[in-house]
Amino acid sequence: MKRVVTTLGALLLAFGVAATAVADTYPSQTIRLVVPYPPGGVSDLVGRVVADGLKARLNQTVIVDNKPGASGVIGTQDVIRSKPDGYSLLVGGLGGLVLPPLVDPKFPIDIDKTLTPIAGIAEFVNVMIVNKDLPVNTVQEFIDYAKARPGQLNFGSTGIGASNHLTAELFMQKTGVKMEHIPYKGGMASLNDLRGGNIHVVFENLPTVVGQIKAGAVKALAVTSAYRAEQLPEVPTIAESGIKDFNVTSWMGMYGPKNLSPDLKAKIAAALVEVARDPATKERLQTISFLPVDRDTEAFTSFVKSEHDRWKQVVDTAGVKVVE
Amino acid sequence: MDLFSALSLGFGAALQPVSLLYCFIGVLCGTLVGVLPGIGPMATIAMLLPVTFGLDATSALIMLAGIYYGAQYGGSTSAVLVNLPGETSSVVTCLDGYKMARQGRAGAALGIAAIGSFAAGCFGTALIALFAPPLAQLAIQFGPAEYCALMVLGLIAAVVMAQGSLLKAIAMIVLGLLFGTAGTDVNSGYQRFTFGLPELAEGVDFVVLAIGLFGLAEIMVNVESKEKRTVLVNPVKSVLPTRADLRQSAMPILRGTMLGSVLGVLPGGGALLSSFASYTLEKNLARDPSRFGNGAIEGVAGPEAANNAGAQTSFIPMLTLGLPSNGVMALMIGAMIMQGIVPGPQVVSDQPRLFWGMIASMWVGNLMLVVLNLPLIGLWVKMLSLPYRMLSPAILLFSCIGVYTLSSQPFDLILTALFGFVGYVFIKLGCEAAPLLLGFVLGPMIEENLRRAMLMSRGDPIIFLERPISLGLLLLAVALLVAVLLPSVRKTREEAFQE
Repeated sequence: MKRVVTTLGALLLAFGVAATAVADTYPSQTIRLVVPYPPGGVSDLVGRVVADGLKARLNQTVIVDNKPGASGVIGTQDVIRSKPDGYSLLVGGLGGLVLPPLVDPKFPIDIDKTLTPIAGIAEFVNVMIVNKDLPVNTVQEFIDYAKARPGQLNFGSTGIGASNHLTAELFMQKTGVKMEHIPYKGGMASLNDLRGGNIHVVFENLPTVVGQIKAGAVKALAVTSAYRAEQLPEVPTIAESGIKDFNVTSWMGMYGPKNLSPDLKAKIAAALVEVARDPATKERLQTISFLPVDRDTEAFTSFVKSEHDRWKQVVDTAGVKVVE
Repeated sequence: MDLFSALSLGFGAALQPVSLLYCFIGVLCGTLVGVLPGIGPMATIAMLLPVTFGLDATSALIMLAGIYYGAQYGGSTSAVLVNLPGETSSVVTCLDGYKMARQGRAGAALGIAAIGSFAAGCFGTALIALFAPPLAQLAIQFGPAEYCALMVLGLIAAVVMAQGSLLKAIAMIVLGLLFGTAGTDVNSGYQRFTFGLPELAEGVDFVVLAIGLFGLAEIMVNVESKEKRTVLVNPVKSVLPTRADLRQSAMPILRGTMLGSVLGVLPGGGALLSSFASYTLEKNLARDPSRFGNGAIEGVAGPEAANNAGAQTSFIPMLTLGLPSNGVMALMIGAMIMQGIVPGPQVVSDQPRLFWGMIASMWVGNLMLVVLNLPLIGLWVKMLSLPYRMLSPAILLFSCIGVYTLSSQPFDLILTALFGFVGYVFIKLGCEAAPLLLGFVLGPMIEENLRRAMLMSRGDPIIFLERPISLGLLLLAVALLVAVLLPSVRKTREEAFQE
């Protein structure tokens, strides 16, 4: 028995030594950034920019591994099942990891118990766009227009519990406007109907619609963030338009398997913060309408928590639930 | 900018040596992945996307576009030779193309597919150059009600298309609809028929179903009986289509091209409906519809032209509106964003060199494809003389690779095997798999758009009759249904299927 304990102790010690040693020699092999969505989407584009930045800082090959399926669940589970050695990391954010568990009681993953946040990477704003022939030019005019037609307007989204769905719910809660939710499958399907006048408003992710706005194909009333978007300097924020404390951004960060050692986490987070502060990263992200954010592990963890809490309130107030 | 100067700018860009090179790489890759069952343009473009980030935008998009329409050429090859559709559109080619191959007319089938595709590709490209903006407006006119009506028309057409008994055809369509409902429901987020498996949360992939039902089932039937172990029952008679073949195919190619060009513009199911629609049309126009399903060359020529024209015009909403009409176009948009080009209606005016360069490259690419493909036909046909014991493992292997590249999930392979077995049972029961696939594709789209339209009208079905396009499509569907159900028509149907 004693021998067993000693051996165990020795093993544990060896493990501990190995762990620090791992952090010292990390990374000694190719790092995989798992993007749980298909190539070409926003997560993928951000993942690739960050992968390039990490490559330069860690002197190691960093590949983007697209593992699409089940709205991100397949790729997320892939990372959860991977060894917590820092070579399998997940690019995840508000839309994939925070909102779905809030609206779906049967969401298959317990995010808090299986993943650990490492650092924030980037965020982008949503923009409130309306059909170009809708006779409104400001948020206030839209509210008046909608209130004169209670329950007659439609808003589109990319599905139940998507950030553009819940942003609209938050907007309705803060303004008292009532609209019908029309969910769509995938990123841009709702835009066709917005342009055709079948739906009236969408709180769409900026990267996908900035071209439509600039060409005048749809009308942008406001951005959802606390700051104006650099791509659309003339478009006010919703808060500026008179709705207090309205501040929504979609964000992405890096996650690892739950048991990732603090040393490794710190090392990866430090590299990510450096990448985020690099002007070259900012420039590349801006071409795809993203903003880099430099949240280290501590800041990112508490940010994720606050996002979870505020959206839980929105979801509970609106009663958005996947029902059977 | 007038059309002439626009096109000369475009050809100036497309005829640059570097553009020609990438165009060639694109169409070559496209042909190859088209030929290999299962590995479609979607997976290929996804894999090559990161490579394009280092290229200049015009070369990158020329190459990616080449892969897409190149795959439409290649896709017919495996459908004709071994009854393996890599994509929706080639399912239709299987029906008569494979029969032609078994009659020793594989060369003629492949030749007419290449020629039809070339004609359609050139015409489709001309349409983009001339009418892109007005055609794009058509796409915007299509709301949920219109889509729903279009899909209903498609389903009715599927019944007409069916080979055997009407009852079996309807049963297969309904089964297809049911398979299509598996996955996450868009409206409620609820998971249907997934048995708690996350792998099924996005539903069954079309490629999985098609390879299982067509390819694997065919292999099983082939290895079952000794005398049928060669794919070719008859020796190859001719490598290229005869003059009579060409004459017979000219009108179907023309009609298929028109149909494909219009349907291709519509986001979602457009391009994919076009080959089914073309087949139905040709069968109804034919003097002797019974030849269809038994190696009618029109049944290859029309749909092949339609799917290629559709592939070409599906670029219209992407280029002129910045709206993707299918998964491949969504990837192209991703490629554009990564190049710093903001997709949207302004691309035509802001990036004329890119826009017109791409259009010009499509002509160049189509020419390359026909030059590339016609000589290859002899090679493909020779491949059929390989003993089946060597051919079938190769087909199986490539099918598995193709399925696995979809999303790197072993689960998809299990599912494919399962559908292979199901397909085998269907063949034994004399049930056609094509209507099932059409139901599978159309079902989810009908449901989604029906529910969306009803949400918009707050539950009032009058929305389908109020809107002129939707009303027109529904009336057409009713007319078609009446035609099928008319006793006289039914009688000829039955006679036709007696043999």
